[in-house]
Amino acid sequence: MPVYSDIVIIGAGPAGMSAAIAATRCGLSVTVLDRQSAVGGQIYRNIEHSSSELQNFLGKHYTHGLSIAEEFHSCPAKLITNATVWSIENGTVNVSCNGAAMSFCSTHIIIASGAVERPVAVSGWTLPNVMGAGAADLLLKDSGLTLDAPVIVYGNGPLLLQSVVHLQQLDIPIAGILLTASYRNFISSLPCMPQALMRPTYLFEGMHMFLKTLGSKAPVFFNVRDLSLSHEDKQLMASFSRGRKSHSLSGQTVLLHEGVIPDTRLTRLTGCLHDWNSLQRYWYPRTTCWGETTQQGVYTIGDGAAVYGAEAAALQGTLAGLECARSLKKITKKERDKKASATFRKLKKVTSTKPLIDTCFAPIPSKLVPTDETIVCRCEEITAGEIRKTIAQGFLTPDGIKSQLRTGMGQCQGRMCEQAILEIIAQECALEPESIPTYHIQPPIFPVSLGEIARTDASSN
Amino acid sequence: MPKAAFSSPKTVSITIDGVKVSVPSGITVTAAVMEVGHSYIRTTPLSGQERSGYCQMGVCFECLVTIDGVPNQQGCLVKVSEGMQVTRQHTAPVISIHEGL
Ligand SMILES: Cc1cc2nc3c(=O)[nH]c(=O)nc-3n(C[C@H](O)[C@@H](O)[C@H](O)COP(=O)(O)OP(=O)(O)OC[C@H]3O[C@@H](n4cnc5c(N)ncnc54)[C@H](O)[C@@H]3O)c2cc1C
Ligand code: FES
Repeated sequence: MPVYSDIVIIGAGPAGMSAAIAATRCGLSVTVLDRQSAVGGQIYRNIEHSSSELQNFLGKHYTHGLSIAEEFHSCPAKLITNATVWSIENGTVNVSCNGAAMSFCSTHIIIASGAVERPVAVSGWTLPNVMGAGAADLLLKDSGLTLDAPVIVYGNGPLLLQSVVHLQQLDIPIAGILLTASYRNFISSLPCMPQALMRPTYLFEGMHMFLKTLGSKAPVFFNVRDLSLSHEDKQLMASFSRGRKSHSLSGQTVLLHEGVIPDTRLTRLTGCLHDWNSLQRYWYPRTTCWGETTQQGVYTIGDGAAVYGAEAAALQGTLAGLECARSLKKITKKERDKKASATFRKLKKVTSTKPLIDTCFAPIPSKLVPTDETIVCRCEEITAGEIRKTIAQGFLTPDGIKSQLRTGMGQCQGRMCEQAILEIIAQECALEPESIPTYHIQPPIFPVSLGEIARTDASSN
Repeated sequence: MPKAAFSSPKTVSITIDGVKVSVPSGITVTAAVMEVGHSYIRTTPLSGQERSGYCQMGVCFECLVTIDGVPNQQGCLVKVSEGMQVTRQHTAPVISIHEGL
């Protein structure tokens, strides 16, 4: 039988933990499920187990996670780690936990599953030692590991600048910083500056990271395109163009980053409506200001709902927790509004920088479209060229291409290829990705054994 | 090779491809494979390409390893523990959606 609680929360990052804290304060019973072995999500990864040296190095933006984690552990929410949610059906959340099947049910499900780095499909991105810039920071947080130097950094986005600063502080040689942004990004973001001034410290810190990147000992290139990676003489070679010139650099590690995008697997699985962010080029679930989606009883908060960053994620968590308490009649509407008013004020301030960030770090669409020789589907080793041929044969959707080429049928279930495939279709058919259907999401959204599925079916019957 | 700059001074003994190694405790299996100097984590079943972890958060499935005899484990989601036996996957067919893990 599925285990009942008033709310089931998926994800124990800042959003999920804060929702649990707010909801349990109102007297609700809460179960929190997370795939990781500990709380923290991506920003506060390994926060409870990292060394004090690492905590000092990463500073207050990281250690703030300690106080959220502490408050979360002192609340009566039930936490289950190593618990991968693979389906949600009619209020039942199915989980695989260390190979065992478990089910939880509730009338209120909060999806706080966070964001992922946009996979940057460039030629040679499947080579060993090529990874996301955010991924490199996770290696540092989880394992204290630093990278093989020299490092080549490519792409765009605040997390990319953060990676550069971390490399500098750790004295790890950088071979080159290849930024895909052009000066147009900065000009078009200027009108968003006045609103962003509501958050001066954040702006100042952002500028500081940018200036440190510019002041790097390594060469910095703007408006880079056509990156291609290869392996030669035990080195990674990066060839790229800028203006009319071609360049190449060699290094041991390559970090790629073009921003983070919401992980919409679970909200799509539950049938929520999504909207398209045309600047940052991602789908995000449509929600009310309390995080409720278009599916009754399904809420989504944090960077999985739209990328606003960790502070906003925590505030949205509080709001969703309060709204669930109102919906379950633990507090009145008036009490909810009173408790929420300060949180809304903070949220307004914290989200004031979003238009600036979205515009300044907007990926340039033509740079997200892989060249013919690039492997797009890493699992099935299918290139952009093969995908273009299939489009020319009249298969104009990701699912149509999947039926012909098996893209998205490997172990990652399309997580790594979907964005690039959307961009290729958009380019070939001269459409906005907004008008192209995404992969149809089916359970299980993570690989589980047939035995687990059978056990889950038997217990729910 | 990647260095453990901030890890715990405590170590655990594990085996990687049958070779006994000592790695900082609390690190992920993916990090351990990198830290001891292996240049890749698995080869692809289709063409034998060498791959290593791209996302470090359980999304890309490039870090699949066999841990204590169980194949297709995402090494970036598992922390090392004393006596753990890790094997890099070479020819094993990688899971389809309904099998494995
Ligand atoms: C690789 C990466 C690195 C980042 N690093 C930083 C950083 O250094 N600084 C910064 O400001 N922002 C960073 N971010 C941005 C990040 O999105 C933060 O803003 C913040 O972590 C968002 O909080 P959240 O609670 O919404 O989601 P997250 O912190 O992402 O937490 C979501 C949690 O849900 C769990 N989960 C997801 N799907 C399932 C499932 N099916 N079953 C069970 N559990 C599930 C995950 O394991 C995770 O713990 C990073 C993002 C990424 C992708
Ligand atoms: S490194 Fe991507 S799933 Fe482990």
